[in-house]
Amino acid sequence: MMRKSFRSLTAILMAGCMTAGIAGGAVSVFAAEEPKGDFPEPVELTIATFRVGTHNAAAAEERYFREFQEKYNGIDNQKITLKIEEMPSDEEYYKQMKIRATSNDLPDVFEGNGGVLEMAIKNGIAVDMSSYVDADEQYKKELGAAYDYGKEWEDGGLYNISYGLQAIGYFYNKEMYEAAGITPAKTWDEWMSNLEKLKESGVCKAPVSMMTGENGWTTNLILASKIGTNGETGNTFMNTKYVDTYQTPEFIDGLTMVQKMLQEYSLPDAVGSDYATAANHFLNEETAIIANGPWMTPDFANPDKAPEGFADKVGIALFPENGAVSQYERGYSIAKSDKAHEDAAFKFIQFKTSEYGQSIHLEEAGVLPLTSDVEMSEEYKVENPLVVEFVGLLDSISYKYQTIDTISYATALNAFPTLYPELVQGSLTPEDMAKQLDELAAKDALYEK
Amino acid sequence: MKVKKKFLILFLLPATTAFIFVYAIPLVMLAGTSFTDWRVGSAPIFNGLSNYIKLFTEDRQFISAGLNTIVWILLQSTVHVGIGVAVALVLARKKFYWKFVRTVYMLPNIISSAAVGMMFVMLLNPSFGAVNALLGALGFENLPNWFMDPGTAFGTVTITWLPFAATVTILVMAEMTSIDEGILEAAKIDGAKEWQINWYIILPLMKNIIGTTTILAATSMLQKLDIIMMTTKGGPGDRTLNLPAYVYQTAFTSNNFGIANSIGVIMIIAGLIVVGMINRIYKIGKSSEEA
Repeated sequence: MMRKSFRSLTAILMAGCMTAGIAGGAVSVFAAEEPKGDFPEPVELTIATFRVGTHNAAAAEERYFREFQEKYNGIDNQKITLKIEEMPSDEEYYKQMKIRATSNDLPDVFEGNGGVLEMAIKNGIAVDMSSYVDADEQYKKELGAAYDYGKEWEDGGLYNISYGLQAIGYFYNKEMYEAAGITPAKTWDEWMSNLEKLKESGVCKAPVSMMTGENGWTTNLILASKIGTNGETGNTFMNTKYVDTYQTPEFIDGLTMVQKMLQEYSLPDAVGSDYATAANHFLNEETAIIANGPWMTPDFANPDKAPEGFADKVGIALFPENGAVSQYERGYSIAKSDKAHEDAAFKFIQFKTSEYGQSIHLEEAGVLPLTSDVEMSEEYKVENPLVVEFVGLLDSISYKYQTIDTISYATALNAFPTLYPELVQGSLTPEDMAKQLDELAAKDALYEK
Repeated sequence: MKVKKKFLILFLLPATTAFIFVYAIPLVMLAGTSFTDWRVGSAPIFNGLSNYIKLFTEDRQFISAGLNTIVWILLQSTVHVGIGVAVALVLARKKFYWKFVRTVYMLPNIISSAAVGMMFVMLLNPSFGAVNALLGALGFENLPNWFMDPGTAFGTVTITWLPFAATVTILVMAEMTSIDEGILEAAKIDGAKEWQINWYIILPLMKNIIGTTTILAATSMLQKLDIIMMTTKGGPGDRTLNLPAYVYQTAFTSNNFGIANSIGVIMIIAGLIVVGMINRIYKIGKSSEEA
């Protein structure tokens, strides 16, 4: 009897302790979650991203999401949770977004490249962010000229806010240049002569890393530079949003040069290969030149990608005639929703594109900031001397232009990888290729002439 | 009898419902919208036959894709099936190696097409691929960039699937087990040689299964997309573009769903014609006497 009573008492006491513990815990958790201020209702934002996995900005993206959630946690600020949709590639992202733009199913925050934003504006589902930005002078200042860039729409609305400046020159192997007795070219004639000297010297397997697969990135950067530095007409062409004809003397002249470079100064697998292959050839010191943006610089010191000490051998330069690709990233847009979601979406965009957001992008992904007000930390400067050098070079740019991706309809851009092989083999002349690009541009759903 | 009918209806209902929702309704929508101007971001507008007229009279890429598809259908229904049947006849002798060869021959058919595509891209890479390295070591010079050279691209893409006819082999071998041993024994007693038995007895008896595998092989060319996307994306130019790749391009790059659906309808009709023609050639389902 005694034992039974003891057991009952013990059970009651234990149950009491557990209840008290749970309640205490619950109270403490509740206390921790209780907002201090009078914040708006919690909101869940849907965001799609392709900056995942091995993407060079995956670390930056992860940091944005984490820090934003920490800030908007319902304690010191409104609670905004993020529902992230991960996409395997930017190509897949824009394909899906285009279709979702037609069915009014865009995520709250989206990126509008590849005609996505045009589609969203046309369908009336993109939010004009002017009133948000105009109400915050400090933030407007942090955006600099990107604010006006975001308003370059027919109705003057601010439908996209850029997160960085895309400035691109080329990297070269200083040791190979020295061995071949050359310096970065000032003119395109000198550029071609440098390639010939590099080839003759035998210091590399081929002078330049080129590729025609995917979107022909490294090849098209050189093509864009040749056209963009070809007088006022060429420069205007390379700054036109959606060109409706490629049959211009400047474009054909550029293609002729690229044809020769692919035939004589690049490795045999340049035709058909992807960016990774072209980059590997440069990183493994098989080629002397690769055109690309500063976001590539971390690879030079990455022992998994390049031999030890390679970073010290790399130099950076503007294209001949002091040309460089210089364009704002299109950035982020908001899909129409209820006021609470639109407000929260703007807070997210503001967080990502503010001076602080730009510094994360610079330090984690090598994306240049929108204004020079964003200062590089001393540590970053020491670790990334090429970026510092390139930022210095930007002051001496004579020609600024955009990428082939930016000025082309998707149907034409998509055709470069399939037309380049024909051009290299000579079964297609530069004039024929320009004509075919015109025909393909006309097939794009956004095409207007 | 009534109960039996009820059960019949009950058992047929799920499959019929699934067919209606998964195939029939989308097919009607596909056919309907193929007569419209329907681009991404706008509602379909009826435009009669103009998509079809445009495709056959103005669209150079569609014509190239169509011709390439026809050539691949012909190659697949002759060379591919021929190889598969020949391998089946050899393996049917059940020599000591037959199980090993059957398994090895089956491998390319069980690996995903994407992996097969990547494997060929690596093997045939002009800089580090094993094929050019071997040919180079043998003294060959000026070796091509197999997938990207306009002169070799079509043949190279074709070689990634044409010889791998294990499905044909397996089906034909399975059918061969149904041949009465007595017939073959009688032929041997009559002094028929191995090739005569194959040619005059086994092959005629295999007519139905060869016809069926021909249909499978030919229509697979109206679905082939993965390897093309992994290797050439239809290039150089339009040299390896086929109808499925062109539908993909039209729908997801040009975002012209009206035209893409018209090509879809043309592909369905082409599939029906192919099946009908092969049925007629092989007289599938009819015995040798009826034929």
